[in-house]
Amino acid sequence: MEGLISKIKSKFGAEILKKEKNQIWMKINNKDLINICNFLKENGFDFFSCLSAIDILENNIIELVYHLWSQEKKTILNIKTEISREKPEINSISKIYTASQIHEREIHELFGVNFLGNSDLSELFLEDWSGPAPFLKDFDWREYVREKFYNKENENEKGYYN
Amino acid sequence: MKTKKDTIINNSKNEYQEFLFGPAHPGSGNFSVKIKLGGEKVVLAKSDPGYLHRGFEKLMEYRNIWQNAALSDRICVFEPLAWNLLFAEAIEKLAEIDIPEKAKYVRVILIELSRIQSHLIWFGAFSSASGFDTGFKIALGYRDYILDIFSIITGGRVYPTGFICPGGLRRDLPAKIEDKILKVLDKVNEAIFYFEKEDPVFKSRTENIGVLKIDDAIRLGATGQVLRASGFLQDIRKDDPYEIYKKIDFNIPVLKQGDAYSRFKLGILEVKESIKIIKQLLDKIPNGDFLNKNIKIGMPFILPKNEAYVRNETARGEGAIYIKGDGTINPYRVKIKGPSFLHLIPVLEFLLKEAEIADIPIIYWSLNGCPADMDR
Amino acid sequence: MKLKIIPKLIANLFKKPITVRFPKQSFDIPDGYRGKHSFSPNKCLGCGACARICPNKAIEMVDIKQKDGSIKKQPKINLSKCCFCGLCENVCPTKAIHLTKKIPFTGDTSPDIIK
Repeated sequence: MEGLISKIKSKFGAEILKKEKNQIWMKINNKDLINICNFLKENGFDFFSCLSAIDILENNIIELVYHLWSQEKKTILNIKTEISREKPEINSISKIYTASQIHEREIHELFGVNFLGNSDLSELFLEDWSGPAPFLKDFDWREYVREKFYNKENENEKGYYN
Repeated sequence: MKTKKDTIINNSKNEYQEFLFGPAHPGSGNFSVKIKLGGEKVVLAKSDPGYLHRGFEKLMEYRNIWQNAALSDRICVFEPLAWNLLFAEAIEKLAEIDIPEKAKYVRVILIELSRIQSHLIWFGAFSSASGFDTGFKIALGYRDYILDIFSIITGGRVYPTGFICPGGLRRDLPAKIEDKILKVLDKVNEAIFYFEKEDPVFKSRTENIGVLKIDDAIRLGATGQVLRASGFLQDIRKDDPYEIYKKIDFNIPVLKQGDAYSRFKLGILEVKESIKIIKQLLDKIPNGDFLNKNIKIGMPFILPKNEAYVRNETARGEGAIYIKGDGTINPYRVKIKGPSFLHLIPVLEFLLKEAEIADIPIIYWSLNGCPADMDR
Repeated sequence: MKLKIIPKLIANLFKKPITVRFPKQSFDIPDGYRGKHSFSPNKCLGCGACARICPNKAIEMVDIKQKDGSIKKQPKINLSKCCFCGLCENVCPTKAIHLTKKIPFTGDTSPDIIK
């Protein structure tokens, strides 16, 4: 495992953030994503676990974290990249890991990120929704519900108006 | 001689028929599949999730960790204790809290009991979908004894609202509970005796149906039972152990055919292994306190600026939580991944592709999916 | 046809049913079950900690006139929103509120408790 990490550092210029008992966190540039995933798949990391997205308003970025698991080396690798908030798009890795196609479809619907090369980006959970992407931090849920659905006189809904 | 291609019938205008394998509760839970039929064979299947989408990841950003622990057992209907444990483990890893030994032993006993009762519901629903309706009543009748144990320990039969909280447990164990658990395990053995016999009618209905080979299973993202019934050995309790699974002696069953019958047989073997685990732990519970000394329930707790990722082996597959804190009492972002998200959308669409119409309920129920896990 | 099933059939005919006709008969409920709340107004300080920690905002502090003329704030619980989690009992500094074994029935006239 140590040899693999030093190869990734020297070849792609990645930065190692934290090392725990079975997990390694690292940060890369988003242009190197496809090359790193091809390299990792040949070296034993063939299980795709999860993909998470975080919206950080102050730095104007959306951060994506890819979680991969290797059965022979028994470690989890967490890879973080950043994309800009005004034009959020990144290459899709669904040709390398087929299990990531459905995760990218969900993040496209809820955060508004465009994945170039994904075969099917149709809507998943919401139907007939024409507003902004719901999980971004500048869309206040409680304001929206108070304006459209809740009534101040109702006994069960009074508590949310303070 | 009729080949397989002959049974797809077109109308003269080259049209197929569409219908909905719909979201009615006795048929398929809260989940529907759009199916395009040509004669008796399925041409295209597209799943339609979203009936139970409540927006958990955003709800958890407005509440502090004690309110979130009471909310976290509504993520999945069939096994609320497993998601309680996942959320508690995520907070403990983020803030680096230690838990006492007695809490670890009681947590593992509760989780294995919850795994047994979740499998019993699945046996009942599967046998009712394949035509044997008495199996549903037998399985749910024997599950009631386990729910009585839960109501003595945690205070509620189905939903223990936040019993496994970050820091340990919320209450102490009542006295003389080990004898009651041993009696309940004898009743579970009686229930397994009914489902273990080889019935020729059930076998001919489920053998060689919905075959998932090992390369497709790894490529499409299947985990847990579905992957082990296709021949690959992977279990988070042995590969990446959490709580006290390192000290327990147990095996992991693996079968090779990958069809619906071998998934059912694997469920029965897993229940037997869980009974073995509980019997090993019952006489070794140490004395001590049940909660970390520096934590009081309900106190305002500030989360540090850190991030953490934990995985657990639930009854259906691999569940995971990613959490990020930012120095206030509410978390900044919680991402939840359930095992049914991968089983019910890519794997089901792949398996339904050349199936006959009478096999659709068998394939759907043999994957052991929970729609609440998928939508959250 | 298998004939071994007949003695089992006859034995099942004479067994008692497992179910119980609730609410006319009842089985014994264990201690520690989380049911309806019971409140003692002498011990309450009016601090409002229970209203702040409730996950569903089911507790509201209202002004109630005491016997000697002063006005004190006391909790009012809406039973249709409560999820019976027990956090209000853990947080109260004087143990004025705690959960008993009584099961809340549907069909009562009003779902609130005012104490």
